[in-house]
Amino acid sequence: VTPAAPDSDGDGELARRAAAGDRAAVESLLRRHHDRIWGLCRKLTGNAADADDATQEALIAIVRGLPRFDGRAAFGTWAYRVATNACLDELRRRRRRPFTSIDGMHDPVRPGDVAEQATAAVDVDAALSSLPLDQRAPIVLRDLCGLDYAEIGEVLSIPPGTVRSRIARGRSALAARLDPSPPPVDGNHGPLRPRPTPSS
Amino acid sequence: MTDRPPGTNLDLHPDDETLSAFVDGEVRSPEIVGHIDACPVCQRRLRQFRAVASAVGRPVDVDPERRNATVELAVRELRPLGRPSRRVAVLQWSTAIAAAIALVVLLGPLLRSTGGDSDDSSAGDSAATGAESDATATEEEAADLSAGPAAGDVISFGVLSGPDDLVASARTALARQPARSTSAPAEQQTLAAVSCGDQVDARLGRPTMLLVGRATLDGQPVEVFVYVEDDGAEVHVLAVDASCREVVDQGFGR
Repeated sequence: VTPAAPDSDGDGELARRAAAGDRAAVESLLRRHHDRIWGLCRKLTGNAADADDATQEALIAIVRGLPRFDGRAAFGTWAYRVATNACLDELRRRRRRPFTSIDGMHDPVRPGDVAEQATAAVDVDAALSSLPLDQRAPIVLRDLCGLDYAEIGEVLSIPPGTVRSRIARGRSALAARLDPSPPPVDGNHGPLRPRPTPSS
Repeated sequence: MTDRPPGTNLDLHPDDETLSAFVDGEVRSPEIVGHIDACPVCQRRLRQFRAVASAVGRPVDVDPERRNATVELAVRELRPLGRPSRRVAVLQWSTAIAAAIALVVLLGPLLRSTGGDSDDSSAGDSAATGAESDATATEEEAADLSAGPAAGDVISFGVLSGPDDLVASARTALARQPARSTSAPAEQQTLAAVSCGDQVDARLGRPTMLLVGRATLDGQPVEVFVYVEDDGAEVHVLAVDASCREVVDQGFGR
């Protein structure tokens, strides 16, 4: 998991200069974050063409919105929020493109070592696309963009507790699709089962 | 199985939500950590979640050219602070040339007033500029323009080296325009000349842009435009290469 570039890496100063109209700072910021934004869009929209469009819209929206960026949130968090909204807009426009469901794949994922299977990006992308967007978005924001639960809550305008539960449900679904073998059993334990959450 | 910390209850597993949050570093309860350390079932579940997280988080390959194009396009949306963004209307060539004639008439005295390498021999009465509005250039005025690089003509700047050379050449050539009392109609000042195709000129998005010439700049052919910043403080010389990518955008004060 690659963490997002935090302000300690210079985003804050770049963002201040960019908000003041510094063209070089704007370009530098966009280049720093482009790949992650494209990755976010790729995984949220489910295909490269929509990701291209959403990324372009996101970057333009970021440039236009820079004068209003107040620095209260990290630039990355703000940028991912803009990008997520661009993806949602793109998905609304492109509903004619259904997501690929892993259930319908001709070459289904076979049981086996989940780590090996999970490295198959195509399978993971297909599995991701089968998730509801409300689970997919927080998972991608966490695992690709490196945001913590509070930051994801800011991006998606939901409480951190909701972020936590949606990520867990999504991961459980992904693990089940990528490793559909029965849960492990040993002499002391039954299968994993939900139970009240212990205090953390 | 690892040694169990005191008080560890292996009969009660943390649920998926807790284990998932543990993967993300959002759970640090000693009770949970103790259980996980001692429980192979939970450890396997954690491995599953970590594998999924790792796969989802794997960076995607991005085409560098695509990245460059996307960033450059977005940067062109940058506007001076406090000024509303204006979409530039896209004109057909014929209309663009008509606008260009009026804009060069405007820009000629403007550029000359910057104190650049002007040629005063063809200069007219700049004091009249803007004082008397005449929305349409007459045929006589159009004929007078031929004394310098004709308005609307595409100037050949020849072989140039570096942005400064380009800007100096553009200023010199444009300053040869005689001053006119002609003003461009307001609507024409918001239009852009079209050269690289609709999609590119719409992206350039300059408030007032005029194609003035072509050059070979640092070994590559470029088209040269001029435009005035929204706040009127600076005139810019802008050059784009054969791919319609901006290679020079340099301003100078009025």
